[in-house]
Amino acid sequence: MALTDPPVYRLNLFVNRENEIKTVTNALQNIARGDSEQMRTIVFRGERGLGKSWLALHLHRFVLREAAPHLLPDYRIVSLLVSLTPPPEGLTVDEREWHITHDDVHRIAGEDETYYEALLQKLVAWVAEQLDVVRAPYAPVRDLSAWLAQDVKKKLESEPHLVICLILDSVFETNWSFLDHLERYLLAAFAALPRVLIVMTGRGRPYLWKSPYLRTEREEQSLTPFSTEQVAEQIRRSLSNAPDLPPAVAGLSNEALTRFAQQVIDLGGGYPLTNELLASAFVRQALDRMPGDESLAQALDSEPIDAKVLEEVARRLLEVVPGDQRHSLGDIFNALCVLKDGFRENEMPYLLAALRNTKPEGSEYSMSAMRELRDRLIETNLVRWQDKRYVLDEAVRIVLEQYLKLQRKDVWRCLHKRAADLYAEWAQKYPGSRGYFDQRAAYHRGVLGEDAGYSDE
Amino acid sequence: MTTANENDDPDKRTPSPADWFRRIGLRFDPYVHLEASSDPHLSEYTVHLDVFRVALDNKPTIIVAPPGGGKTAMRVAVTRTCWFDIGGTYPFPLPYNLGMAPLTGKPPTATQHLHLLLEAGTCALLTGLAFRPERLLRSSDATIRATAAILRAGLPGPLDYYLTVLRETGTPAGLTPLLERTYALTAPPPPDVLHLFCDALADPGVNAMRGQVEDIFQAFVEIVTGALGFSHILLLIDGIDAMYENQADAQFAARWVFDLFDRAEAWARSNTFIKLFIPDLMEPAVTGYLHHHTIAARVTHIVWNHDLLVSMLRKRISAASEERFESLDAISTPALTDVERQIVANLPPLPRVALQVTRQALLRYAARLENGGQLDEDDIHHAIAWYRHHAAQQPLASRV
Repeated sequence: MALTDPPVYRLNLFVNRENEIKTVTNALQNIARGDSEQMRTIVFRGERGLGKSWLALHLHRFVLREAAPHLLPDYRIVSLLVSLTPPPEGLTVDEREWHITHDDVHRIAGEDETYYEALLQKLVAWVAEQLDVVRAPYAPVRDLSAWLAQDVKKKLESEPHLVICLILDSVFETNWSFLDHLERYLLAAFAALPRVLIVMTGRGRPYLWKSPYLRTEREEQSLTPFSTEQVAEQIRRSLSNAPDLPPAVAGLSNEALTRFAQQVIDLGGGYPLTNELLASAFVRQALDRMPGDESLAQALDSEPIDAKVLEEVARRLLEVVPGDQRHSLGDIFNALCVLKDGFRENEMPYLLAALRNTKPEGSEYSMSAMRELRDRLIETNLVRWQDKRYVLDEAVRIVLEQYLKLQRKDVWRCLHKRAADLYAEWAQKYPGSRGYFDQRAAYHRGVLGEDAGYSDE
Repeated sequence: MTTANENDDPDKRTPSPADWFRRIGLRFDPYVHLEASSDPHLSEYTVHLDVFRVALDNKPTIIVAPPGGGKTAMRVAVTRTCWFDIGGTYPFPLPYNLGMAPLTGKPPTATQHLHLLLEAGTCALLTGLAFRPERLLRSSDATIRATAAILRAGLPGPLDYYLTVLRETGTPAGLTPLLERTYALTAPPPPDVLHLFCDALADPGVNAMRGQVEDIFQAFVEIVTGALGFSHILLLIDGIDAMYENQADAQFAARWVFDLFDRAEAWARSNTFIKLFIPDLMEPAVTGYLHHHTIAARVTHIVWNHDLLVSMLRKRISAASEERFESLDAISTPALTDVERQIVANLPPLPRVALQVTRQALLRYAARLENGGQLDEDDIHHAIAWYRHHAAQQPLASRV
């Protein structure tokens, strides 16, 4: 079953994120009144499909344009959105928005430093134009950068009621060598200016900024998955605005929507992109198979999700992995997705061999091979080091595991069993860490036991 | 536990292959630089961010730390981050190393201090501007001429000599060892821009600025914080304990900065702020003087404890691995967790010692990397034993 494309950002589809919006508006108010304690950089971090780009667009198109001026009536707020990911198909680029192109992404990934300079020249010139400073659009980027910093400073001095908000979307996913240039030519200068708020969103490893203002004076928030009520509201808004769905969809009761939302969360964890993909596919599947005498609500309650839907959702979530690596890394993601609490390089050969139904022997499973794989996984920004272990992006992990469980049950069981045995073995072998490994072995045995219980029923 | 002996020293046994660190996922050896100014990555893994903030701000500050406690590292990190961008409104770092003052056995007079500050300031300015010529080239002709006149007045050698060095080497890095070692900045300009910069400053019609050193230094301050666009000047004063006579007597050593603090308030009014880095033994003498003369200056301490040392070691791993992992746990056997904590728990709380011992563990591991192993408990025990062996003979920190 092919999935429908998720909708592009629209104000009437946006739900949740009140806390994040309040963080930004509070920061703006504090910056406007000269509060020196206020952090002038806010970073929203989140996993794949948590709605970071939607939040960036919502802040730029609605919060800073429509809502914030009511909170700061005496101030002129200029918001600039710089998106380091190409706009999805169907998104119209709006005022004061700069989106990178697919070609740019390709050239940046190729670490073409000459291209960085050319691209940043355009970006810095664009920022200057938006702020009505520096009239030298063809000057080299280094000159532009030097002029921009001083001219914006003068502008802020001459216009004491001006507040500038620079929003950068999908920052950490971008090539780090490019980020070094971006910081040097644009961000470092802006971060040092008063009455400038920088908002960033990003997934994966956080970039190590050099500027002390970006490094030490920033507030970081992690976006969290939606609650049942929020998922229900997201589904209600999205499905009622889908032109190809019948009126029965918009007519689902609150109770039916809540039950449906819970099903979606059980499968996908409550991540907005996954919610959208699952709910849309689920409803269409139910409508297709619904007997004439059954309501949509009943069909949604009784119809199990088709494994193909989960496979498609997983494919969509893994679209951020470069095409030439998607297949080879797919196996690794599948092998590791049962390790809910993360892993180190030690577990990798055993789980990978279990998935392939072989022994972890030979150069393919050597430590250097595992380290190479580890680095490739991290490059996708779907794996990161967190609290002593690598963790797979939960939005992806949960869907992959659900898919394995539904479609390749034997493999799923084999992986959990391998993990349980491995940790039990390590608990014996490494008495200093016995408690830790025993706990992990117990988790995997518990998962298998719970599944066996359900199967017996 | 393994014990240390000369034959077991991995430094002597195994030359590290060039790509060894890359093979474990690191871009560079994060523990090799024990001398801060030689570490190109220093500003990527600064801990003590609270001290870092006050070292940058616009208030006179005394930064106190034990010997080997990271004063130089902090000063170098501040210097490099201030010059990271191309032309923004960061402070201008003026490194003033009292250890370079003439060896008279007596503290410099107020005028001698000003001469030395002017020399240090112009060395820093020429080197910094050579890396960021756009900052000068956007200025008016009058500003460029005034800058050249001040440089001619303050530099230890003729400006034209340094411009020739720049032209011949084609890179501002050629100036760093001649003028200011901490100014090993990144992202030099293209050669044609560097030539433009040299041409702009080489005007033969511009003579060295004449007058009292107070006036020339004031002109320096005004041009740096005015036309050149820096927010304020940081007088990063270090090296007071570098001289033998000062090491012996903290009270005597403190006299080397009294004259500087007498000017602190006047300097603050012109956006110039003292950031004095001193060893902890000198704190009572310096703060006593300030208190007695009601001179306002904030005192902040670089205090190391085991948590911060763990954080320092991990930040280095994070930076070297580009945030792929932040602990040596990532390359260790399943038995080994909290590697950094296990290391520092057995050491005195000094960063230099922690760096040396961690590197020693890694070198031991490097020797058997070919066999596909992982960092293990023996590597850690061996490195700690190595430290104890040497510490028993002489203080390790003072050997480097």
